[in-house]
Amino acid sequence: VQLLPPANVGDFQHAARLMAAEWNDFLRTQLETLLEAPSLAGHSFFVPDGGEPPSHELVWQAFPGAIDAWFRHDPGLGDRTPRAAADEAADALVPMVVGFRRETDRFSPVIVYYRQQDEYCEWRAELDDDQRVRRVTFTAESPEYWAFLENMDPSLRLSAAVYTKILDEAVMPGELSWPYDVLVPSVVDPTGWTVRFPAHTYNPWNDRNVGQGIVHCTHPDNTLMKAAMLVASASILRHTAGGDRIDDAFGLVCAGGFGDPNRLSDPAIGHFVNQHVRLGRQVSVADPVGVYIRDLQLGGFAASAGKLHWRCKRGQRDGRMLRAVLEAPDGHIVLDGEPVRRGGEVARRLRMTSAVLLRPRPKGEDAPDSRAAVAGCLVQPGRPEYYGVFFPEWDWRGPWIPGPADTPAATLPQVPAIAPAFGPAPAAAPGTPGARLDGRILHDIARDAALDGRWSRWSRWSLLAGGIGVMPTRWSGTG
Amino acid sequence: MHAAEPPLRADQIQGNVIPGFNTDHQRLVGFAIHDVARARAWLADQARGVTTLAEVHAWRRGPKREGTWRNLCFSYAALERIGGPDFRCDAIRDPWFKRGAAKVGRSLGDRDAHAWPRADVLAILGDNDPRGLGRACADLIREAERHGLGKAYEESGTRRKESREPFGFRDGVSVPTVRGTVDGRVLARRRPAGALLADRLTATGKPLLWPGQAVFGYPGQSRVSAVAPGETASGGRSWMVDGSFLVYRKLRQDVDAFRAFAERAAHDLGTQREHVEAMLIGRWHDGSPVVRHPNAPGGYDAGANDFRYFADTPAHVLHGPGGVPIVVPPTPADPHGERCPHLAHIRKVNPRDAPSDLAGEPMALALQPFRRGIPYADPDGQGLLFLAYTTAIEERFGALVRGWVGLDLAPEAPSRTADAIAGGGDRPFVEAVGGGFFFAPSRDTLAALTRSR
Repeated sequence: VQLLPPANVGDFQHAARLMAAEWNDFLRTQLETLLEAPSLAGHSFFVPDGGEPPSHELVWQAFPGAIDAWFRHDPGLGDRTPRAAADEAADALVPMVVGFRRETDRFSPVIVYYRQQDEYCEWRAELDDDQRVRRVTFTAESPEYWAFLENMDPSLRLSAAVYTKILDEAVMPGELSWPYDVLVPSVVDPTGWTVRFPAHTYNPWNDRNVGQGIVHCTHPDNTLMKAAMLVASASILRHTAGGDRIDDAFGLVCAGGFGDPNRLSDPAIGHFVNQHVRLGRQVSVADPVGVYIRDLQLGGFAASAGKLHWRCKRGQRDGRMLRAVLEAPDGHIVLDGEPVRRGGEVARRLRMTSAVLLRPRPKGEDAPDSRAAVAGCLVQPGRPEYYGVFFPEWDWRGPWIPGPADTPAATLPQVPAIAPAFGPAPAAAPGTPGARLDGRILHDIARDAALDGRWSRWSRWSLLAGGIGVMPTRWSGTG
Repeated sequence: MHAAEPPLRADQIQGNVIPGFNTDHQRLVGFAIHDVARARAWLADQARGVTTLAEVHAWRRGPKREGTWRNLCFSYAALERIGGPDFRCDAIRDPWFKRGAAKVGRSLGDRDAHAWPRADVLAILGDNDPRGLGRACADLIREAERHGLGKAYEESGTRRKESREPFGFRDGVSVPTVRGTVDGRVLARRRPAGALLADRLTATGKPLLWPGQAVFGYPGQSRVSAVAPGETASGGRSWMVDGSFLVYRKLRQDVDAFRAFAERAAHDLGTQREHVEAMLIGRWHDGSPVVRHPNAPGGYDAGANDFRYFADTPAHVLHGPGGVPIVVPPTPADPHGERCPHLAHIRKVNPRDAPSDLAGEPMALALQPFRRGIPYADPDGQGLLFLAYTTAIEERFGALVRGWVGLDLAPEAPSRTADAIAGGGDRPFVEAVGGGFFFAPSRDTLAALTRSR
């Protein structure tokens, strides 16, 4: 069976058949590679192979549960309500260091901005002069598809053509690429550097996608493979060190170390998948593989003047939307009689969906073994409903993290956890000190660059120490 | 082992919040404030007569009480007007409470909430003697009108035999009971330690919820555990402690349409009307769950909530009144909705341990309010005066009604439709025709309100 592009979107045009085949190869290879990960031992995931069983649509709200959890008990709110703080934070762009740029006499950090909307949906709100929202554009497009387009046409002309079509504005290939090499420290030579993003390749955080417009997702967790990995990881049965079976949503995310327990999507998807594996099923992601915008509950919304429009702009309007817009062209958007001030207010009424396949375990095949927990959750100090997932093998070793290295997760005292980059974007312009590192990105860098465990310790240390301003000097030397 | 249950400030919490009046007759009277200064004087007088948790609890354990019970609640607009700047109402956290039911109506699927009569103050009166209740109500209205308040509406509710609601089902089978102590003793009798589900059900089979679900200043339900306490509920202002939000909805039930639908469906399916009705609700008329009794009613007992959808429940023995043993048969799980359909009302509003869009049992419990409904009948129809106490109207009650009752694919993925009973539609079996959002303050806050300037 040939796997289709998300929502079977028709960008390929003249080379449709060839590119569809390429997408199938691309996605199939990614899924098959994913299943080779040692962390997935004991999974009950299968790669779609034709004759698929009926799919089950899972839904969740697009507004990030993690941001709500962060602000629900925020000691610094003052008279601001948690809701207002969360809505403000969700609309803010967040800086992130993705590497370093070689300058004449030094290396300076390359800081990009991304949207901290991590429920596989991102949005951009456009305001009128009185700070009232007149249009919100939502996207569920994963960055993999754009990496694929670049693979098909490294000149980025195809990517620019699709950008032009989506944004309805002329976009040139040069606007979408890195103007310089983005470097990260080399694993081979700790005093040297290696290229992470070569010049003139696709920059997913380009200004057309993050600053001036919105085309696809930018949050590092909003990817097709993260979603597929979540389903595959959740298909592993888990038990505690004492042998008790783990079958609650929160416990599964923590014990399996997949996803984020603060999110809405990860625990919901993980719980559904795991419970059905216990019932004797095997699971997969349904074709066309993707996470989609399903519906907006329009009850309560209105336009201050003229009509309110809810439109599917890309994908399939019957619940597989990749891009959708809520707009009041002649005024602003109103909810429950009040002007909408943040895009998040709309996102709270938006449902996302992803479909999973369930098939009976083949006759004669043994039930999968239950595996011991590989991770645990700890409460963020001072934020009693915000949890961090920790892996004992690398999070609790090293001189910077308090706590004995081999202590089972659940018995450890509270330790400082990763501070997510919530909160309004700092006023500082990109490139100035003050931007915070994102631990998850740094772990990805470490993996991409095949770095050893020093990276994860380094990134955690940097986070705890407050950011890039206190980077160990050995990493900031000349190449 | 979980945290000890908190002592409840029984002389502060209004009695219909916890444990609930549960009287045979009740009146709801909504008042509009025309003159704030004179209204304060009336309130000062009324505040002294507000019935607290302590009084209702004492009556339940002691001799029959004479007289009419009374609780008072306020809309956001009323709190702003009466409380003045000292109360800083703008810092109240719940957006829906501040917007009010009229504005939020469309979000809840209400067709004409903007046209409902609005009340600044809602008085809830309860009595087992209808004549005494009538006299108390007349006195209340007369005194209020003397003090610059006007009656916006008056509703009368009467409990039916076996607590049946207008469609004929035993109501309140799953109404939560609060965890907490009064005078050092837990409020509701528990199952013996070690008994099945003793950590989450009372001796009479009611789900146990932490008080912060409905009362500010106490731990609420955890988002990650069905039995451990969560964080302390905060409304945004310190004067909200021991108070509760009240969602009042006058729900008209179209009994004829419901019966006719069930009759047609029964004919098509070759079964009895009662069977179809039971599948739509998830329980037979007598309150027995279809997941345990798929073919015929099984009788109501303390085991009416001893089942889950994704885990088998073994046979066990409970002890009824007087220690009479109740043998609860084994109840296999029903993950695919073969006995209790996913669209059944009780499964839509409480999917228990099933995977849901909010990820399982802890959140299913966290959305549950403390319900205090009572049936009504008037010239325009019959239905339920639905009262739900909560500490989060939008986040919990809204999620329940808007996100689960009103939508497909939720809470469980195989749920292909909205709630079979309350999910709206062109000709809904249940429709809200009145209501409002209120705050039921503690007795001290009530007194402070009357003194504020």
